[in-house]
Amino acid sequence: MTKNLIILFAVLFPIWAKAQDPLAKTNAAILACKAEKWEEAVSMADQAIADPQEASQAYTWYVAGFIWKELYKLEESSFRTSPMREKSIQYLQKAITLDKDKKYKKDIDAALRYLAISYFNDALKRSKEISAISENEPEEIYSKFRDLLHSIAPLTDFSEYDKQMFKSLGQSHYRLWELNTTDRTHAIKSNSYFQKVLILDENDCDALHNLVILHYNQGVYAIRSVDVQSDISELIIKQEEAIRQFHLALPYAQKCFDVCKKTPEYYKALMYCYRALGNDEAYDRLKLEFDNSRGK
Amino acid sequence: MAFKLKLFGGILLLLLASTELFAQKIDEADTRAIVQANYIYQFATNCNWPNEVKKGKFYIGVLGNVPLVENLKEKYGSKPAGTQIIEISSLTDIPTTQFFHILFIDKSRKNDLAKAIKELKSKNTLIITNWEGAIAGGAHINFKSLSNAIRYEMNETLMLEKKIQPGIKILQWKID
Repeated sequence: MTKNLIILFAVLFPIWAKAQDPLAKTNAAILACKAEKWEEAVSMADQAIADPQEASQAYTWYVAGFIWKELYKLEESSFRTSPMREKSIQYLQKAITLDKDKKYKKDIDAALRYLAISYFNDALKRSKEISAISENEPEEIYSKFRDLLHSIAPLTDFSEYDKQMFKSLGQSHYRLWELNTTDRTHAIKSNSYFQKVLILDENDCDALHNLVILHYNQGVYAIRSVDVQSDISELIIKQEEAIRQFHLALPYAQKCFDVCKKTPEYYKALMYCYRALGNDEAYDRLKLEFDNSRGK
Repeated sequence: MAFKLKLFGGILLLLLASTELFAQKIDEADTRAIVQANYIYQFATNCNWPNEVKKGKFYIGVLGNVPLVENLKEKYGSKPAGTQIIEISSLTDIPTTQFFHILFIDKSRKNDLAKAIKELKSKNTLIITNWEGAIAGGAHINFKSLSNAIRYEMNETLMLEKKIQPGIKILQWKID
């Protein structure tokens, strides 16, 4: 009789215990997480999502996603292709599909927003260090940011993010052009990115000014490439090439000067364009104005 | 179930694309001065001076254009013109004692052209200028703008009077 009671207890206790706490593994994961026992937290979270009963709950996936996000922050935040971040997103997105009454939506969205922004930051950082072989990476990472943020906030206006990204890529391609000015590939790409910024905001001062510099400096480079071995015919050809670039730079310099707060850089950009095109009158007028503004 | 994990959530700040840190800089070089310097070098190397001044250094003087002097010195100073080594000087007045093979007078000193012509009448000095009407005023070569590019006009007769023979390349690219 006693033996039978013990067997019955052994069979029923886990069922009873489970009934008392249907999310036992999930809650154990939370406790471990709070205690910053990450190994245990991950182990419990993984057990929870492997448990059919707990895995049917949005909360379980949210907790698992959250714990992986915390681990990503602790261990892989400087790792662009972090598997922890991928796993966290996967779990949080699973939580969304199970969260029919949107009970955890706010918390899940906050976690996903954090991860989305981490992609944006990675894309921006990567854009500043691109080489010819890694030039597509920033946009690939950036599209992850866009997709993720769009999934939780479909009405997000991405214009400001796009502008930041395009400007950064424009500047990076400009730097690549400067490393090898005989190859215009990166100058063309730089121009293309700044043009994209102007499509979003035709008065963006950074884009306007950078386009001035891009074209103007290409002109200067053409002139500088004339050396003692060059003859007059080459000088004339290089000059014509430079003049074309100066003509491209001038409208951006003028617009930047007209619509943006006047800075020494914007003054110089417009002054130099006029000087390079031989418009001494406009150059002298601006120089006088510039010197007066600086109290000279 | 109401347990909030926000305790660990934190906020990740957006990085800002710093235009300051990675700012592109405009090249401050005076391109007109670079081009004029190259032309002057071409005149020095593609014109023929009389034998009596083909010894010693090849002197180029510049009156009133600092960027041009700097460019000439930087790129063509100490380079050969024929068998002579080029020496560049920045002048404050028309040279009356020292001989110069080439004298450039900037438009900021255009009033000095008449004096230069008078003082250098008996010397084989090529006078180069950069303003409209300078050829009529007695300059030998004058830079002028053609579709925003720098080209040059010349008075070949006056040059020949000075026994300075312009080379074929110089004649080929002059404008009227």
